[in-house]
Amino acid sequence: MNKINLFIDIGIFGVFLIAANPNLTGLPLHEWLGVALAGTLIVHLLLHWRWIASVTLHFFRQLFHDSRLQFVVDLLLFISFTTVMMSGLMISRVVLPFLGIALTRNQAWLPLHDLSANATLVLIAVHTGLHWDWVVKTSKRYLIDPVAGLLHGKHLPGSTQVKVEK
Amino acid sequence: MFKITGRIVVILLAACLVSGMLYLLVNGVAGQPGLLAGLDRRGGFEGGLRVAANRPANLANFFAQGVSDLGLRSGFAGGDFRNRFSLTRGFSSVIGDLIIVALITVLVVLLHGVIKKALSHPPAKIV
Repeated sequence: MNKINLFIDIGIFGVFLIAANPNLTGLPLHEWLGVALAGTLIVHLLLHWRWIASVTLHFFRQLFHDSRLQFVVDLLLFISFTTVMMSGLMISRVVLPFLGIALTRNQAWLPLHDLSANATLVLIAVHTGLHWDWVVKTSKRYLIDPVAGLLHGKHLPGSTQVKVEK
Repeated sequence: MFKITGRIVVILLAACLVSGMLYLLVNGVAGQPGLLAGLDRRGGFEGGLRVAANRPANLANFFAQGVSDLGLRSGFAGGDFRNRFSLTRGFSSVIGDLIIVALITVLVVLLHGVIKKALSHPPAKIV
């Protein structure tokens, strides 16, 4: 499960970084990547559902615990991400017209979109920092160790492997 | 399957709740302008505040007052915050974002470590 979580999280982070720069992607890709991100966010929440339910139930029972801070940051991240999605849809020039939906434009959505995107970026960093131990542990297990094993275990052509018994 | 569908519905409901509140904040209720209706792109918050100058109860005015009190102009809105860190537009802005995330993550890891260490000290034994 940790392996799936790690690769999904790396994927979400990578796609967010790309989608957060419409100058790089162009508007159509920016909008469709945003919609796709909403889907992956739901998957992320589903994979961590047990933790979310547990901390929500125990939030007011115990005053000081580490999960409380993580929960508050995650809640803010959810709100800011939803704001990005909502404001993005309200100023959409590609996705909503494609779906045949026409909205009256309100200028306030544009700065809200920028502001919430910036807040999301900062909150993602805080979220990563608070889960740093997990990030290091799982990255080492599923990314660094396998790659290191491949590099060290690679034999040169013509060499023979000698097993030394103690 | 039923359990997962229920969880997805809960997530979507939570997202709808946030979105609905946001919609009301922007578009207002019963003909009244929304609290965030004054925001625009001209100079970030200040631009929004200029537009909202005739709406005393506007949240944008509240921000405007705060921003001018601090002597700040053109704050977070309009992508200024990230553009300041980005080398140029295009691909380098991704690297700029990555640098911001890395710096904040390092800061949080250090602070979190210090706070955890401070809290984990056992109470002093009184002899």
